[in-house]
Amino acid sequence: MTSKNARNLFIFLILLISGLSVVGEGDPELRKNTISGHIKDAHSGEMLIGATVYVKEALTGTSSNLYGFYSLSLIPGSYTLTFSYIGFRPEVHTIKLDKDINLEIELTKTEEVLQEVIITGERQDKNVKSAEMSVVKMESKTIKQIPALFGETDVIRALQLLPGVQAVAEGSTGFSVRGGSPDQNLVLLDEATVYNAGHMLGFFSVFNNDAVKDVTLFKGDIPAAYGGRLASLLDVRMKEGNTKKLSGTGGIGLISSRLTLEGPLVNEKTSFIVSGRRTYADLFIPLFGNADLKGSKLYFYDFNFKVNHAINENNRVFISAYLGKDVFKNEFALMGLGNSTITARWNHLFSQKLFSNFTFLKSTYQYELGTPEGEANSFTWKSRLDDYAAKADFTFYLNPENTIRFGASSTYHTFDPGKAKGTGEETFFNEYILPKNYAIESGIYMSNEQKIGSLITLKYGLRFSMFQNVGPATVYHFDSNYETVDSTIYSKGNFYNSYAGIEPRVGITYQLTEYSSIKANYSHTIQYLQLAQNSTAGTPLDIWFPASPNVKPQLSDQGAIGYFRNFLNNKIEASVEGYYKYMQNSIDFKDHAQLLLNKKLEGELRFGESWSYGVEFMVRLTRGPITGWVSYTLSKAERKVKEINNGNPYPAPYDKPNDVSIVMNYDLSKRLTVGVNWVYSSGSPVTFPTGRAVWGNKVVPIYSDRNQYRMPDYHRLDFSMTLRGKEKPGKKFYGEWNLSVYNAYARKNAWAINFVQDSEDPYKTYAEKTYLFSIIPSISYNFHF
Amino acid sequence: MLRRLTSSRSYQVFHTTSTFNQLQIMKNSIIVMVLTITVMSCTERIDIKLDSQKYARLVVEGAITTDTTAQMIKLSKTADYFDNNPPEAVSGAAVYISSDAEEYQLTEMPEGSGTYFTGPGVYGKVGKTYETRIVLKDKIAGYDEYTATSSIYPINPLDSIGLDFKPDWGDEGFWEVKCYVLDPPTVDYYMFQVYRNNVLVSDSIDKVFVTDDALYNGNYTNGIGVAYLDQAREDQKLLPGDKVTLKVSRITKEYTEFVMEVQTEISFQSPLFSGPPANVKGNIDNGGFGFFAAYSSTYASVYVK
Repeated sequence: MTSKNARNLFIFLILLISGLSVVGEGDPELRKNTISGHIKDAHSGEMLIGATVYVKEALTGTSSNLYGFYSLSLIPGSYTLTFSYIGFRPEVHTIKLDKDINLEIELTKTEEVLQEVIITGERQDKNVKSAEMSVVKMESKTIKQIPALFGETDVIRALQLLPGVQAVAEGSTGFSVRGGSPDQNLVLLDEATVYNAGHMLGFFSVFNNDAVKDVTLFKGDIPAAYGGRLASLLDVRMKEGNTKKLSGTGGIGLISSRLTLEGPLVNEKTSFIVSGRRTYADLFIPLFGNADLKGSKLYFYDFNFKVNHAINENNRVFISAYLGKDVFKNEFALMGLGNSTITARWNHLFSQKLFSNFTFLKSTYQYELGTPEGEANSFTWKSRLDDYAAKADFTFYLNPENTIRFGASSTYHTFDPGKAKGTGEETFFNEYILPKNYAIESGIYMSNEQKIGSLITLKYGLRFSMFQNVGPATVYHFDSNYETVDSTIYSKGNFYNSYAGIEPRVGITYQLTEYSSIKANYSHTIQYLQLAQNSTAGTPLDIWFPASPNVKPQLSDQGAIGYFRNFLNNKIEASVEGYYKYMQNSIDFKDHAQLLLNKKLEGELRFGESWSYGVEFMVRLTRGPITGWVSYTLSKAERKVKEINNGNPYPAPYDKPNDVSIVMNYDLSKRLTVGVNWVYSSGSPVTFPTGRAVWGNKVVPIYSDRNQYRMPDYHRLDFSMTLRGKEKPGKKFYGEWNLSVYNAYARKNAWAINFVQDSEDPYKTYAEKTYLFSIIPSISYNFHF
Repeated sequence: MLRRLTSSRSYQVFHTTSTFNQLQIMKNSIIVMVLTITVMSCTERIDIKLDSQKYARLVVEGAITTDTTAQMIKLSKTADYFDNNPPEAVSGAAVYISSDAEEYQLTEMPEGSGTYFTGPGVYGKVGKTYETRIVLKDKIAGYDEYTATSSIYPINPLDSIGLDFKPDWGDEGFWEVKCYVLDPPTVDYYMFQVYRNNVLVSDSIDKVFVTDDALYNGNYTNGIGVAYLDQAREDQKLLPGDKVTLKVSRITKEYTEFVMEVQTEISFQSPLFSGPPANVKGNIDNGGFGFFAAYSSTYASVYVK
């Protein structure tokens, strides 16, 4: 599509919006009044995302948005409004609507423990009634109850227990959604893209659970407001900070300690939260008595900060920041890497029906490594990626039947893929610099959620996205054998290449009965950035690279259909979802690809198509002393690339046909909760040797077709026990002990399988598996005040 | 078990510590993180049932160099991966090395060994391209004739080498072999091998070091470390008076890639650092495995004080 078409589309959207406004406001007979406001937690002042408002007389309702805002337009009259949010006591307000009303709501938590649920729906029957499917929400406090590796509660590890979501390798927080690659997940922290969501080679995620308010994973039905990735959207929202009183949360664990402070500044209109976490695993290094680790440093830290200020009822500003860093150091190498993001947002109500949010953000991922300075062969190597983005998002609450969202965003990406140079005075290194490159990624969207009668909800939207490569740049041209023919140099500011596309998203929910529904959706998504990652789990050194004249954007078409049924007054939620996903311009890498410090990286890429399909079953217990879920996924994911595997389809690296998760929490008493989970999945596909050649006194493997074997099946049982302090009136400080056991029956799950030459008999070879975690017990102490 | 894994890994680490190939830099630098994993990991032998190879292939290992010794080409066959026997030699073949109008026929010595030698006076000349032609008695994988070609490029003679002891590395320290040579402005590829008292220490393909000159092209390599001798290993241990010889060979890009691919495929593979396993590409036609290399070499020695 050309930019002319883009302009036409934009004009079309503007007209559409203004047209709808006319419909809404035009006819005096249908004049409506609007009731709007925010829904908050009475205890902390935190905005509640997805709390519901139900209007008894009109048999309709709405839910609060990401900023806790709700708006409902109704014909003048008297109404009974019920505000509810799971885990909170519902509030009923009777209003006389004869003019526009602002109604701020504060909900109080029901009894802390017994009513708590593992995954909170916004509404008890949301599973069945909402227009969304393939979406999971998790709350920070519920994530906390799941048994954790080393006792480190981890958002992403909790998500990996859901159907269709899998860890890329044992212990990794990298995840694959419905067979997709990890770089096909858009990971957002307060709207800013997090390019590497892992610490310590991915064994921990960058999200400090204490600072996290809400986590939503869209496994396919990505809202039109977001784009740029094929497989999923992981939307992580940081807490805003307690507006009522100064409070804190913290914990001391085997690996790390955490402390979070939050509270009002000056008055209830301003609040802040600061949260820090640091690991101290390296303090234990001397205990291993391993000479190789002498003098080593190894730690990471995270720092989250957020402040928000309500200027008045119609304006509210937020500034949030994240800084995380990993440090590795020993006597002959050192390395530092991390993400940083800063987001500034402004919520503005143009009217009670038109909510808007403006975002400006910067996100950086960088790493630096090298050898100790001062020697002739000392060197450093740096790489970084910066995003500067602006977004405007509007929600127009036309009437209870139509909620229209529209907006635009633009991101300026700068890539500095690598720069290596000698640092010693007598260095014999030349500087080795990979040229920087620049790109602008933009999108405009519009979507509507429309209720038709009481049985059908439609969701439809269009996103138009555009990607432009901007000079200065050096573009290599490759022949059909991927050898460089020549190159073109583009000057600064030259928009030398662009791609654009329309991404439709459509969904329907048909309510069969009060307790059951059928949902279906289709989405088309485009991905313009990807990660040069050739191993399944990846390393922090893997670099992101953009679409370009040599690299077409990846495309995905996904369709899904599901049946949702609740039992026992919504106490049990059951669902079956089937999906099919077809992707084009999929990227894989040539054999023995060199992806780092390679000026001609694009020559290492091979393009093809891929597809995946599967069925996901899930049964959840949402209330009562026992909560949790059982899920089973049956799936397949394959790729086909002309130059790989002789052009025959082969299993994608994340193809795990069978996947089972059982997650249970049992509140034995107000003070004691026991958690258990069991996971099973088919082994990852691998390529094993079938033949051998002896060359250079070594046995060199000759391989089967790509991914024709599988690792042994993976399974694991974890336990946790949480013992809370006694509750007393007037008590200010609450502590709890958490005991967890990871891999309770000590299964030696294979992390890697290698074929090794026997040191005694060089012609003898054997298979050897490497496993990481045997049984790992851990204990941590958490507190809040 | 843990101990063993760590020490075998650190050999690889030190081997590549101050080397300049892109891949080596990466391996070197992520080693700190690898060490953390070694702390947590354990290994165990397992039984895996592998399919048999579909058909046997010819394996060719040979070179022509500027050294004035007899040149050798070794022929064998591939086998099932868990065959666990010495490879089956390919005997009775007619093996030739030729360049322009010159052609030498190699003689199998001893009979039945699959190793074929030229006479002692045959050596490669700088600037020439050599071809080997192998005519088998019986077909292997459908072919009875195989060829491969490779060229010899000029090399700057080594100025000198030095030794530097790194006491903190490994259990008993490492000797670093430092190399002083002017790298020409062309894009060059090198192979480094070490002798101790005239016995080759780099006696298998995993112990040679190959690299391009991308990061120091055209510079004087002022004591760049190119080989490491682990003092905890009997065959590498140096005593005062020992003679250490470095052999530097200028090899082709294709041979460099071949050696690196072989090294990748026989080294430790993990989900973090390794791409999918892939077959090594050599320069033997008709589906033969292996490489016929041609290169120029230069030597320098130093005595341990």
